[in-house]
Amino acid sequence: MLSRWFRSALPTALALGALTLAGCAAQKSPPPVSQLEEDADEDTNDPLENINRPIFQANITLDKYVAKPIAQGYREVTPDVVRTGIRNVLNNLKTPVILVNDALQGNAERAGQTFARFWLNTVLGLGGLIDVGTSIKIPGHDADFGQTFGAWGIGTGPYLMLPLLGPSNPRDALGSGVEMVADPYSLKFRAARITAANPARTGGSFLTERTDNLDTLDDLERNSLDYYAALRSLYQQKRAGDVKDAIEGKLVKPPAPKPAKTSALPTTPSDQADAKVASESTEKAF
Amino acid sequence: MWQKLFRAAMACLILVGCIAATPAARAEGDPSAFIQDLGDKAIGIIKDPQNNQTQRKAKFSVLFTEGFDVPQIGRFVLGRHWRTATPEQQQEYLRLYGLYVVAVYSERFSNYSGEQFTVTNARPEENGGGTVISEIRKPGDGPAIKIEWKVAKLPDGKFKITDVIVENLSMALTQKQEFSAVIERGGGNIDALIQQLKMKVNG
Repeated sequence: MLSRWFRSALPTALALGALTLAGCAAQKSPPPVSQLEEDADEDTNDPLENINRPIFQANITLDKYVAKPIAQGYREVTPDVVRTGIRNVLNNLKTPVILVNDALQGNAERAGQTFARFWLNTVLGLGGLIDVGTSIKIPGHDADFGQTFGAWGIGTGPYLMLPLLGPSNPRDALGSGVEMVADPYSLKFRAARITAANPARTGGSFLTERTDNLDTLDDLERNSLDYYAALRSLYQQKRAGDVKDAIEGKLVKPPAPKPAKTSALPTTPSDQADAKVASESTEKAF
Repeated sequence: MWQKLFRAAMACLILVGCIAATPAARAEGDPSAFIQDLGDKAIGIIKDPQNNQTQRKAKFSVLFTEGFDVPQIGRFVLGRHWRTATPEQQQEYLRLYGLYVVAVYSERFSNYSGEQFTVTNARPEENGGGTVISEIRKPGDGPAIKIEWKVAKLPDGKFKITDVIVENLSMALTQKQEFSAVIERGGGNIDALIQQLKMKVNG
C-alpha cells in the first residue's frame, strides 16, 4: 500500500526536484512516504473550524437531551418490523428524487433500478411498506443533488457544521435546498393542503436516521479522541465516495444468500452498510 | 506444419501448467487466502458458544495483533508528526496506539453475530501485497457491507493488514485526521495526543 502511495507521489516529487527526493530517500525504513502526500491527507478543508466546533457542541447537547432519548424510546417501544416498514415507506418517498439524480448523473442502469423499485414497492409493496425490490434482487441506492453536483465536477467548498442539521458543505447544503423545493411529494402534499404530511415525513426521516445510528454514533463518540475531527473525516470520505460511486455508476450488489455464488461474481460495491451508517449519520443525526 | 503443432502444444502445456499452478499458489498464501483465513478465525470466535463477551474480546485482540501491522499503521496515522517526535515519544505513542486500537477494534468485532464473511475479489500488487475485497452479510436480506483490506507482504513472507476501508471509509485515514486535530489543538505537541491516548487506554 505504501509503495503505491509512493509510486503515485513520485512524479510530483520528481517535478519538484531533487530536494524532495533526497528528503524521501533520507528517511529510514519502512518505505518512504512522500511528505507531500502525507500533508495532503491532513488537509481537512475546514477554515471555519472556530465557528463549526461550537455549533457542533450545541448540536451534541441538543442531541443528548432531545434527539437521542427520543430515538432510544422509539427503538424501545416499537418492534423491528414496524421500524422497517416506516423506513421502507420513507425510502420509497425518496425514490423520485433519487431517480432524477440518477438521470442527471447519466446513470441509466441506476435509474432503471430506481424506476423499477418505485413501481414494485409502491404497487406490490403496499405504498412502499414492503421492500419488494430488494427481495427480488433489485436493491436500492441513494442519490442526492449534492452528489450530482460533485459528479459534475463542482467542488464541495469548506466544511460546514450546520445548526441542527450537522456536517455539510456549501455544495451539499445547496443540494439539500434544491431537494426541498423540487421534491415532487413535498409539492404534492403542499398543493393538496395536507399540512401535516411534510413535517411528519421530515420528522420521521430524522427519527429513523438517528435510531439506525444509535449504536454506531455511541461507539464513535466513546472511542474517538476528537469526536468532531473523526466525524469530519468520515463525512468527507463518505461524500467523496458517494461522488465516486455516481461517476462510476456503481450498482448495488443484490443480496445473494449463497456465498459460493457470491465469490464468483465480479465485485461491485454495495451502497449501504454499517460504515455508511457511521457516515450517513454524520449528515443528519445532529 | 509440425512446427505449428508443436507451438500449439507448447502453448497448451503452458496454459495447463498455469491453471494447475494457480490453486497451489493460492493455498500457499496470497492476500486473499490470508484475509479469508482471518475472517474464518473471527467467525469461529463468534460462533464458539463457550466464549462470553470478555473471552471473545480477548481472543479478538490476539487475532487483531496477529493480522494487523499495528506499528506500521500507527506510524502512518501519526503522519508528519512522526518525524518531529523524539524516539521516546515515538515509542510511547506506538505502545499506547497499539493498546488503544486493539481495544477499540476487538470490542467492535466482538459485537458481531451471525454474519457471513466472503472474499469476493482481489487486486494483487507486484510487491506480493494488494487489496482484498470482501463483504459481510448480516442475517436477513440486508445489503452486503463492502470491506477492502490493504494487505502488505512483509520481508519474512507474512501478510499483514495495513488499512481497512469500509464502504469508502478508511480506518487509517480517519485516525490520521483525527489524531492530527488532537495534536494541532494541543499546540502542535505530540504529548497532547499521548496524553489523550493514555486517558482512553486507562479509562
